[in-house]
Amino acid sequence: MTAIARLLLLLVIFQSSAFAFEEIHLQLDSLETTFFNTKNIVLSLEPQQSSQPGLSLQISNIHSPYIKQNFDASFDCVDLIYTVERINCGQGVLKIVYAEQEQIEIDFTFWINILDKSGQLTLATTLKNGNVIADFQLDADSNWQADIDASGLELAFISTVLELFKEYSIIDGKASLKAHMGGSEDKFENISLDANFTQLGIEGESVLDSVDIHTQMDMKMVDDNWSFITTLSLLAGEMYIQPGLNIMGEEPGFYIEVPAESIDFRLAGNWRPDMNMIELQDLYYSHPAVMQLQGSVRLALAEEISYSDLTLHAVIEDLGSSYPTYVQPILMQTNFSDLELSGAIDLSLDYEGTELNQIELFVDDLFLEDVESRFGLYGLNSHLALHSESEAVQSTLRWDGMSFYRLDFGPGNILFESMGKDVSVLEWRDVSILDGGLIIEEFALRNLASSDFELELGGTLTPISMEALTQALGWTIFPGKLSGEISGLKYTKNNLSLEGDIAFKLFGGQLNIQELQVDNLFSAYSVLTTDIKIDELDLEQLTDVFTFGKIEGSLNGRMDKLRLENWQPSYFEMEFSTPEKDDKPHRISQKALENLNELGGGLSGTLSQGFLRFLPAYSYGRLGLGCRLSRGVCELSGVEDDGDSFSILTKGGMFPPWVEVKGAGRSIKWNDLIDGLNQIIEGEVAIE
Amino acid sequence: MQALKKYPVITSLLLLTACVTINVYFPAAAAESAADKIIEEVYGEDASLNENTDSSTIDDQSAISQPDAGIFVSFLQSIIPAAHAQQPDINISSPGISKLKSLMKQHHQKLDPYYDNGAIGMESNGLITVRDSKVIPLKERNIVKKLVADENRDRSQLYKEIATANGHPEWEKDIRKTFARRWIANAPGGWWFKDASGKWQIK
Repeated sequence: MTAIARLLLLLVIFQSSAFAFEEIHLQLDSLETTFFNTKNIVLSLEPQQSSQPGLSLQISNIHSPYIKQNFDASFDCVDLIYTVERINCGQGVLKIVYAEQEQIEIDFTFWINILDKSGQLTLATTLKNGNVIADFQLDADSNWQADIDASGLELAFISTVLELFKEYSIIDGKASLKAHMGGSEDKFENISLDANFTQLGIEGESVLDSVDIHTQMDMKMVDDNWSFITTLSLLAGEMYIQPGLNIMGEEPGFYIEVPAESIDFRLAGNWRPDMNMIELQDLYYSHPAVMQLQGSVRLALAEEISYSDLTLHAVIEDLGSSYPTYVQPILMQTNFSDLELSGAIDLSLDYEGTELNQIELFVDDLFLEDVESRFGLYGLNSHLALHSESEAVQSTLRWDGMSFYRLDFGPGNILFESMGKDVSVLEWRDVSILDGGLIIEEFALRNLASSDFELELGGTLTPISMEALTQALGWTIFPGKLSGEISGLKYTKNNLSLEGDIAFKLFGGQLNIQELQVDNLFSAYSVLTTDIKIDELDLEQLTDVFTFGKIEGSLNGRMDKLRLENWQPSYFEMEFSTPEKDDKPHRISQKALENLNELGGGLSGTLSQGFLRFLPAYSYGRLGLGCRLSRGVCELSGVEDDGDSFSILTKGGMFPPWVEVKGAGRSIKWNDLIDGLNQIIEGEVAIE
Repeated sequence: MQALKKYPVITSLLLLTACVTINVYFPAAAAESAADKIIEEVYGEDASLNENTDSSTIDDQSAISQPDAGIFVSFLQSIIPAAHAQQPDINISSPGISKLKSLMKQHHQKLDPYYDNGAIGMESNGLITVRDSKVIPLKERNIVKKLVADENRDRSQLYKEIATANGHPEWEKDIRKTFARRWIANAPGGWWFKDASGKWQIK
């Protein structure tokens, strides 16, 4: 029952022998209700010009939490009829003065049956260009109902008067609505609303701009619980919605431009006030051609809303359309925030309480490419299933191709089985890499569908052409073949690490990669650190494929603390030299010798400019070169060091002529060294 | 021990020498100069238009007060290796730093109009943030958010990389502080920044 209706009923107390009084004045010092409080109320009952008694009510300085500023109200009925049974006001005006010059006038009529306490109040007003008609009825059994019919309400004006939202302001838009409420005594029992909002503009954390909305709501009280169904259709406009989710320390916002077809939203369920809980039995969201969601959830309305028993079925028909709207904002802090996508997804989630019970994902023809061309995945089709039950469930994953920077990987497929949280890989197909391949011998996936997802891999690399590999990595083109073993390669949280070794066979020798770690693998900025060890590299095989010139002998060495930033070396400590015991002949061609001299320009050789230069090859004792790269400068060392200079080639070998090469300079810029190597490999350095 | 007792002055000096710890102080002036160089490259024309030569850096080393202790100090200076006295350079030429600079330069070209209209501002921790989203058209809000996230990720990585490239990972905080000041000092007028008390100010 409204406060006004209650006041009207108070009049009943004074009704008997009313005509015996010429005037009645009643003054209340203060009145406090749920909806408002005030300190001065004056009620007068006195004859009007028509000799009929008039009723007036003056209330000053009313404060209501629903209205932005305090206001005064006056209530005047100029056409009042009293009978023993009934009070009837045929014409009245309620004036609300809420600012010095601003007032709202509301015409009203009412009647009250004094005997059975039934009554009716009708209000009509014009607010700016909008109209509102309201009708309140109370029957003899204390059942009441209220109907409101409003059209063309200017919401910006309403928001200057009513305290609708504290953190939001309505800046534009019109509303037309029909609302019906019913109840008994002071309880609501049903509420229905049909409203249209046009050109709605709201500012705050979330923003609506020129949005048209049609919404319908029906709520019914059943056994002290509210059962409700609400539909909302977005018909036009654009919006930026920040729903208050916290993902990786950021609150994502979703920009939605309403398409020609409406975006539809439906909620149906029960609100249980006694348990402070909402059970959403039907949660439906449809963004045509972009995404459809359907599900149910139980929400606990504490200070922070928590959910349980969530079921969700999401259908994304076109990832290309849905990614920028719904996926990209969530991935903003990750390295997957700028992708080109196509394909479709069908996802089902089922939570029991707050524990994930079941997840099922179908991926259809997914194409994914990083805008910066760092990685890509092509033609992915998958059915992934995880159940918390003890029953084993199989999943498949297959793809047509992958790329990582300029490294291309061929098609692959994996069949795996999950039982509870344990996932085991049943079958897989070996993956081709450039012109070779990886024969997978170990494959494990852990913590699927969680941020702790881990992939572990081990296998054998079948020969890959170094030319293709170095070209793909943008390095100096390096001929030869590469093959080897990989063990304990693990990927988790965008980092790649190696628990075992990667052992390659290269130019007759063995190359071991240890302590490999790549941080930020899928980012614009990756850092690789590792130690590399080389044993028994056959220099003849190596130099055969270069234009460097032939060298015979073996080479051992290591490159410790190698650090690649953006795939370019920034630090390493390298030492290569002929093994102490080497059975191979130690011969170096004239061309190779000249190149050693030319390399970097900081070295000087002792090769005679006389007759020796006409001999095709020379003997040497040991060959060695070291480089400590730091700050873009390579600090050089050789196989022997006498303090003043270092030897790259020492005298020795079985047959004369013998040669030695000493380094005169101790340092060379790394870029100059690489440029020199490139020129030699490309044959730009002429050997006379 | 008897001999040591006989020569207390020598003993004291020996003990003093033995207790000397060599500290490589953060080279604040060099770091500031390095920061300016990077920032000028990232800001491009914006920085060259900025005539503000604000240089309020306090050199950590020169700020250390040295009492006039005459011969004693001279003696100490002679036995402490020159590494302390030298102001080391800051290396900003590693491949990683070059890559990060190039990425930040790309971001900056896109961020520039949002600095100008006050949508984004400079934090006092060397990062940037969305200051006033109202001036960003709805359609561009996520684009700006992403640019800010990318820029901050690269800035944090840059501070770390400079410290690592100079062999002092522990300098990261000082480098960040230096950059925080220099981003603001090199910024053109009209851009927003947070002062030490956390209040937004317009430059």
